Amino acid sequence: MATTFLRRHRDTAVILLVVVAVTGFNIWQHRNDTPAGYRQFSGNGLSFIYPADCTLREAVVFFRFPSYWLGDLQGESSGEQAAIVGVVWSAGGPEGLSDFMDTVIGEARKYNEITEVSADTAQVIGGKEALVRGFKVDVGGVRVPGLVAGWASPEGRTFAVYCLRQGAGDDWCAFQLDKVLRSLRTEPPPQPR
Amino acid sequence: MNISYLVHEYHVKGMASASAQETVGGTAHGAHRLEFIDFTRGIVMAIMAWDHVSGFWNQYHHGGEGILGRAPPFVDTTWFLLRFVSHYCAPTFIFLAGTVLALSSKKRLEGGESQREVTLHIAKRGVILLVLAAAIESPAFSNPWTYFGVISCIGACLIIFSVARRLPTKVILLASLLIILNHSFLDLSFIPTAPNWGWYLRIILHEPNYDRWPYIGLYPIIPWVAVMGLGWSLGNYLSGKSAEDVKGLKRPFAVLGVASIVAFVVVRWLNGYGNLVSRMGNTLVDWLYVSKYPPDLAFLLWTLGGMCLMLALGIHIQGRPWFHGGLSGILLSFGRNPLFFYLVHLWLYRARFPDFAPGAYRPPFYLGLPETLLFWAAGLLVLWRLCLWYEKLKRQYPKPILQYI
Repeated sequence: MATTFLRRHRDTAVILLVVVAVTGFNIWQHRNDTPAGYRQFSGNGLSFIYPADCTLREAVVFFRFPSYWLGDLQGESSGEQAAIVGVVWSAGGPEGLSDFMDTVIGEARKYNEITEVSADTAQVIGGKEALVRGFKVDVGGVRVPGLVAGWASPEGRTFAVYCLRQGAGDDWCAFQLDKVLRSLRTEPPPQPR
Repeated sequence: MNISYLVHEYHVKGMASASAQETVGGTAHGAHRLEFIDFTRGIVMAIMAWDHVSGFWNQYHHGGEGILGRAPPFVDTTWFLLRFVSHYCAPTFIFLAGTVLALSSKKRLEGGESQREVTLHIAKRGVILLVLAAAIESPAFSNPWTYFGVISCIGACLIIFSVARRLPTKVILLASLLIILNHSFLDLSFIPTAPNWGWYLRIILHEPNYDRWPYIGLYPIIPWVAVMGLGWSLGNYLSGKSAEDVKGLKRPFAVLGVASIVAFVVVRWLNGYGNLVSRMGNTLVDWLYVSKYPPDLAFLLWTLGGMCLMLALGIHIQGRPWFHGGLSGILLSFGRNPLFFYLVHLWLYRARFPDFAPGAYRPPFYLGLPETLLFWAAGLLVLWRLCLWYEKLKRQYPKPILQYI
């Protein structure tokens, strides 16, 4: 009976098999590709992905060109619901993580009104053990929610990854934080410090 | 105006010509057995009219979902849903264009035309669509004639199908499924973007983009020709089916529609393969915000699934005595004249002179939602009467260029 069924639907079965095989192969082959809607940055011993609609700029926080041990990159999109995604790094270990996040927020405070900064909570985001802090930025009377996560890399650097977007909730920030941190890869320094 | 009376009058006078219906002759295998196709197309034409009138006159209406992987945000959920509902239009329009093309090609061959004549007819229709897109569609959207929109895309697909139709249906079905499931992996980076021809070629083939005026486009051929291929396969399956056979398709269409929507939920939940715009949270907008430019798998599962449900509904009601009257009668008249409706509705709703400067799309003033809905409904009544008039004209002059529109 099964044989008769297969014989009757042989062509359909062949079509399905080919479709599954080709599609499965493609999914497997592209499993490590940059996801759609994102771009990848690589340089200074680190790489990460950020939303494709953001334009990446260097030296927004520290006003100095990034190097392996100190630097920052910030992606910004424009429009009514503009988004900011940034990665800041410095030499340091896990013990200085909270201070480093204070420094980053302190730099941001020079140009923005930042309120409602929450206490640090230890979380696993994007497969990394990180300290996470929520905050709000006042933009023309509207409080835009943001998140910043601190993570210490094995080679002795501390990273702060932050996300905020006008008109978005915590979900969006948490999602982007997860994406950036999950994709964040670091390399050993080119020469000893 | 008594709409039911007017629809009734139209049918009593025997003006009913058809696209899907006309292509199969109507009586060979049971009268009106394929009117569910025109009914479905009529629904999406009416929805499409909403999308365009809103785009022309509403401040918070926008599109561009998925261009370069971007997800331009909407001001609120209402405006998102008012746009989202229109996602059914292009896939249904293009899918059913393939279905009707298969049915009409078969009819022409059975009517004694040679393969060469049929090929030439389809290719000519494709070229005419390209010309109409450049001359009528593009200026309606304040775009240059080079804009590669939905009509250009269908025109190009028709030219492809004028030759590809000679392939066995199963090969077309296989190729279509492979393209739909795998086009997101396509890498066209070997085509240089520095020269304008390379940039434009990539837009036309697979990468919708609005960045380098006038080389802009939203409907690339590669994914959409596959949607037309699926429709073509359905058309070949339908040809020769009796009225009873067609009735029996109601359940398979309904099951396929539901299965497709369930698959959409799974694809969005997994949030990887099949999503050219990632789900960034768990709100309704996050779940439904999919890539239309180009159409990702999630987009096609949702829209073609919805189309299957509409087809099932059409089969369910097409035998009813009231089917040709009232609202369904109006929708049928839209569905029988899709291209005429498309070209006329753009300018009817645009309601202002053409302009060709970038960014001149903005109206002289914005309408609120209630006024726009009123404008939409009034426009549909005007379009309905125009479609009836156009059908009459086609019957009076069956041979000239009207047969291509």
